[in-house]
Amino acid sequence: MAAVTLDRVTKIYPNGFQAVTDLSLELVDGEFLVLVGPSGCGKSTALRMIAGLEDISDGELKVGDRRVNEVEPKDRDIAMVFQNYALYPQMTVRENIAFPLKLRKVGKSDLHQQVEEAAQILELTEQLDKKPAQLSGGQRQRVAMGRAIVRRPALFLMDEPLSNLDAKLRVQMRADIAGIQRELGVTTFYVTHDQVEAMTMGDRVAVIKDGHLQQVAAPEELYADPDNVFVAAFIGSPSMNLYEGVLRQDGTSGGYTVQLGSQSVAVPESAVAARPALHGHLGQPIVVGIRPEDLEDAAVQPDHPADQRISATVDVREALGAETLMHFSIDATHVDSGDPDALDELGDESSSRCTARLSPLTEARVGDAIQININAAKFHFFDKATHLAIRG
Amino acid sequence: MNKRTFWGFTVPSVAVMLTLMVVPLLATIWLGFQRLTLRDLQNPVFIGFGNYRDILSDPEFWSAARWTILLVIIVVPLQLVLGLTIALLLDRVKRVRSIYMAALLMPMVVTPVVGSLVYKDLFERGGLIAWIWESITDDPFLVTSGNVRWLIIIQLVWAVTPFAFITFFAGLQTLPEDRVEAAQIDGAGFWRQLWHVTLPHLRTLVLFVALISIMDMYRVYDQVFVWTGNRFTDAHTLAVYNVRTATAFDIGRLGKGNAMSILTVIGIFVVLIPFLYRSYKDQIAERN
Ligand SMILES: Nc1ncnc2c1ncn2[C@@H]1O[C@H](COP(=O)(O)OP(=O)(O)O)[C@@H](O)[C@H]1O
Ligand SMILES: [Mg+2]
Repeated sequence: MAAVTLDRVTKIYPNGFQAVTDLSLELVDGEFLVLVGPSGCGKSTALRMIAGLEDISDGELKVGDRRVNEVEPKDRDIAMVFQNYALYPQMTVRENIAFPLKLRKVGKSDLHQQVEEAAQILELTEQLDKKPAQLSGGQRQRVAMGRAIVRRPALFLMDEPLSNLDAKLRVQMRADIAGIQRELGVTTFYVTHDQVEAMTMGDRVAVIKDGHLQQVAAPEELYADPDNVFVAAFIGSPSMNLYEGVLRQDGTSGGYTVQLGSQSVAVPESAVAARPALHGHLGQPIVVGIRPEDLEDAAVQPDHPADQRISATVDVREALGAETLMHFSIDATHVDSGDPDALDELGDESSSRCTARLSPLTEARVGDAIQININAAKFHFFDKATHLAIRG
Repeated sequence: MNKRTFWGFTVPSVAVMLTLMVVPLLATIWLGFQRLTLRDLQNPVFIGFGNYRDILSDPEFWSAARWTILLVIIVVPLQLVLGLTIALLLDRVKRVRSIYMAALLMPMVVTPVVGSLVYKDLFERGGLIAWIWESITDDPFLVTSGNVRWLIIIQLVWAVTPFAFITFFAGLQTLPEDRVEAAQIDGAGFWRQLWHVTLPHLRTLVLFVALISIMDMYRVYDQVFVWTGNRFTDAHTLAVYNVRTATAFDIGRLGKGNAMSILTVIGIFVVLIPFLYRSYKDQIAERN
């Protein structure tokens, strides 16, 4: 059953700015849905409309079967965790967590028991009589969650709850929150600009850009089969490399090649056969996407087909231990994914940055001219005009 | 830090404190023990606690003290409630705020004497309120010892509310919006939000305004004097009583006036102890 349904929900702010356009989403009971997108794309606006903190300009919001567009925040059966925790500083942890229950006139013994239970789940039992000011960032975050979970709401909203924590704690809290959510089985709508958070925490991930929903899918599917150029570039780190290229079929052999700037790479027939629509784009510029991990130093992987190779000169080398990131430039035209947070292309127009995730065995150093294997079967193809994936 | 730097930084402020605060205070204490009149400024005579005995046995002093404390009890809470109400209302206004703001701050900008005189004019023959009164009741409006206290209270509330308002309004601007929203989602209506979110946030400011205003009430002079002059002595506040004692023409008992000031300082201090204790505790709590 759908726990929460957004049907073409739109937000137009009083100043005329349209922050969210026709957002349709269905949250399945008990699922963890992450809404991810660059900052300013309307994530908080969407969340706040669900919470009832912003009016819905158009469309319908349902919790269960009940339309709640006009319902007060407190009557929506929704709890929210804020980015800055929004705790009540004069109350102890216990009073903070108990507050929503107290307002709902829950009896004393029930209240006590529910608070203790929540504290136990969140490992806050020791801190119950402290004030928020005496707690660390991670503990405050837990209190904010405690205040939300004691109510056993139909929906749990979280707006970038981890962005104020340091990197290490964030990784830990990421797992903790996901764990607690699964334990409680509360439907959760989680907003973040961090695609790693989205991929690691979400049962499903919804990608949004400029107020428009781009794609909703399980993390693996989103990564493997992005609907458009934006999703392709936004999900995954380092980002997918995106260039303008031309797919050609050889008249005599019938084999396919992709032209990337001055170099050409053979494409296995199976890759084209899986996407019949590609035939309509033969000989025309399309967008070609290559994930960094689909590139490898030819010296490390000598048995790769020789026609799926390009040559390049290493610009930057980042040895990370388990892998080595190698940056080089190729002379194909870079395609802008439309992610405002993406790195700007450096240097002149004729060359584009390319990032490869190589085996740590690579011996290439900055300035070396090397051969790079491309796993051409993993190419992603997009329409140059619409930026949509070319598939069926 | 070497000695020269240390003295270089501390001497100026210590010197200013000494000349402007410590010396006058000591002089006041000393003068409080002297018989000293305007006629004979050259020959102060030490009389021990004579001045204090005089004051404490003067029924007019006790009347002034009672009235001053009554003013504190009535005006300060009214000021706090009104100031908060107006601040909350203006906080909801999003447009042309500055116009309301300017109008609301008027009483603070106007010199107290001028404000009092203008206000008094309203009740004088030909004044607006006196005229309305007369057209309704057919009797001329008269300031009497019965109503003069009310007139003073209204005037004082008018004069001091803007201070509370502007302080609370500034405080409201620093109230994190998400805390209010969290309370909304948690199920708090207007009054609960006020009680659990807004007021706790403004608490130190409320304390601060109350503190300043209590001290102000001890010092109320202009507003009362404009209304009473030397009449209606039972509506005289401590400050008026003090000035009258010290400068009463032909006698002008300066020694008694100084003793009176010392008593006032002690009186204020006693009232403020709980407030000071509270804010001390708050600061300690905040440091942890
Ligand atoms: N009250 C408002 N009035 C007008 N525009 C707003 C308001 N709040 C947010 N916006 C705009 O709407 C867009 C989306 O904001 P928001 O939902 O906060 O983005 P996100 O949470 O994804 O970073 C932004 O461009 C922002 O400037
Ligand atoms: Mg946001």
